[in-house]
Amino acid sequence: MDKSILLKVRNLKKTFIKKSGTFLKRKKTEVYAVNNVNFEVKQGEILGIIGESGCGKTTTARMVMRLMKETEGEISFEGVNLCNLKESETNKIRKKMQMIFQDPYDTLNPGMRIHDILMEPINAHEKDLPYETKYRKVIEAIEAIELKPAEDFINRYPHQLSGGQRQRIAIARAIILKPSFIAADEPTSMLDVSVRAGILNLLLDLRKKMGLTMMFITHDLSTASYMCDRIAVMYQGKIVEIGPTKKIIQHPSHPYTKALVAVVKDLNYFIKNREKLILDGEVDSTKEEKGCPFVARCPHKEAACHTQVPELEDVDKGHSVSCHCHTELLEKTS
Amino acid sequence: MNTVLSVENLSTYFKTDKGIAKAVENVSFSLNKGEMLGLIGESGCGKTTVAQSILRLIEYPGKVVSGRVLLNGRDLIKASEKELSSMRWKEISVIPQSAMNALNPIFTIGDQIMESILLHENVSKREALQRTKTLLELVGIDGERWRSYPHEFSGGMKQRVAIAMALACNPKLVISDESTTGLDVLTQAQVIALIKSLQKKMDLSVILISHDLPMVTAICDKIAIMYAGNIVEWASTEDILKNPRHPYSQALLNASPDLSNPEKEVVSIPGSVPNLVDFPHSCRFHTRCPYAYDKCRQENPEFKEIKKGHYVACFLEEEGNHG
Repeated sequence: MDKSILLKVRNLKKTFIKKSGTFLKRKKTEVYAVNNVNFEVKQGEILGIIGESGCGKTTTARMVMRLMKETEGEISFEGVNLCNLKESETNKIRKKMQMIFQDPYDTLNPGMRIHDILMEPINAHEKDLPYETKYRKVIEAIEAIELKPAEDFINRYPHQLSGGQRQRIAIARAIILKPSFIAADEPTSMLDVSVRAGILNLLLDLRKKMGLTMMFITHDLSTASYMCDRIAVMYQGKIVEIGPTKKIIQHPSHPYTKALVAVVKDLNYFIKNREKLILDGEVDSTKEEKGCPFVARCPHKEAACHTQVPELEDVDKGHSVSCHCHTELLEKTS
Repeated sequence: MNTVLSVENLSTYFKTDKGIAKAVENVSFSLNKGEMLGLIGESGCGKTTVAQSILRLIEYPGKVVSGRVLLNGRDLIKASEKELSSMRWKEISVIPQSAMNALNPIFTIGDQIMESILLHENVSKREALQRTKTLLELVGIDGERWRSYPHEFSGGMKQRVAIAMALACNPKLVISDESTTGLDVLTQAQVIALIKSLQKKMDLSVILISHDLPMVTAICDKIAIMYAGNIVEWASTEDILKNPRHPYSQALLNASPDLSNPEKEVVSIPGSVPNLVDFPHSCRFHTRCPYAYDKCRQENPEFKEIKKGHYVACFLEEEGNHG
């Protein structure tokens, strides 16, 4: 396929074992955290992954970043299949792909100064450089994340920084080795509205300057629409809809996406029409896979939805949805 | 319209090792019958402290140092403990921040709702149970599930139980303190829809405390915006959206992305929230305000009505040179 695809994920699955029952009658059930996920991230693109808590967004990212082993499937980065690599080879790849985590209060070691925090990735991957070069890299990284003057920050400890500044340092740590790919896992959800915008704009700016490719995980559709070129909507371990941001926002095709867009776009419309958009239902990922994952809460369900798992199908160029009823729904709304 | 709650010059301070933290200072607003007021601001700005002061739940080292809280004409700040307990639940109640922790895990939800009814009203156990079932139905839960324990419910359902509980004794005023934070987007919207429909049905007055500006603007009649312990602007939702006067309100509106306006560029507010300990007598926003001038650094602007029902605390209003 075309060269511009940086990351390709095929049939990715992750199951966890859930133990239940009493001591003598212990039962083990498999829980699908990520179930048959396929997507691609093109060079220079930001792909958003949205969904509610427990839908498998973070698990997907952790598998892509090789922080977790997949149960099944294939992840290829720059044409190399990451799944069969040895630990030493994986470490080399890590230089090119970095992650930004959700909680800036947890990700920075409180006992280390900013200088040491930022030196760590360099020492892990480019140990042999002279100290002056390494130091210059640290200063450049701090300047890149717009903390000025950089010299003022290098001797501070994380507790001397605000939440927004800490997240900036976490970003500096991720970009210091000039990676080509970054996975950002809810980088702004712990921050206040007033600093959130700064972090989002910084990431967009870095993408432009460094030609970064990004996977941006969030539960907030409006943030995703601001940041991303394409959006993948996950529900219960599956991608239920994927497409260009504009298409997803203007013509959501999956009932789950429709409800999500309605809530964020016009809460009053959602309140008035909520029976038509979503049913009160329980989310249970331990249930055996049978039928559509959204069936319990879907207001449009048909017989097939209970028995057959829908596949991702193209509705438009680059826009696919997995829903048995999307064609009828499309007719209804247009 | 008749006023249900009126808060006048409320100040709540906390004693800390480093000095006195003025968590809430000189806060005034009122709430009419059947009105929904959104109290919004960032974390640490004093939203919850305002709610706790109204409910008289502030404990040492905190203290309500001045002000009045009139609930249907009675001052809650001066009320005795006995008067207060007769008013809580019956006249004023709370939907707590996290329903998961607010419910007692070892009692059935029916027992917990009945407890508040039996404690405050002179009814038989049977009648209380009947009312409990009706309440559960009201929030969209099968009445027969009163026998269930909290762990048998999902997060959204527990939140519904907490709402049912807050309504158990037919209060006139309900304070919802970030009651949907932590729920998933769709569950959150469903809970908000429920609160809104109950508010209309029962003609409740509601104070909705939240940090979610889009949500508050969608469902509240009026909005009060807090910053670092002060209410900086209080007006109808329409005025806040179309004609925000305080620089902080304007900045806040510009800080979050808007799905219906994809071209909008979000702008962050430079700097960070000031330390509230021994804060000097000046406008609390001046360190981050693009329009700040000498006067802002020396005096605290008064919270004034600039138009009917539109209150702002900013010197730019007086000078008439708003940017």
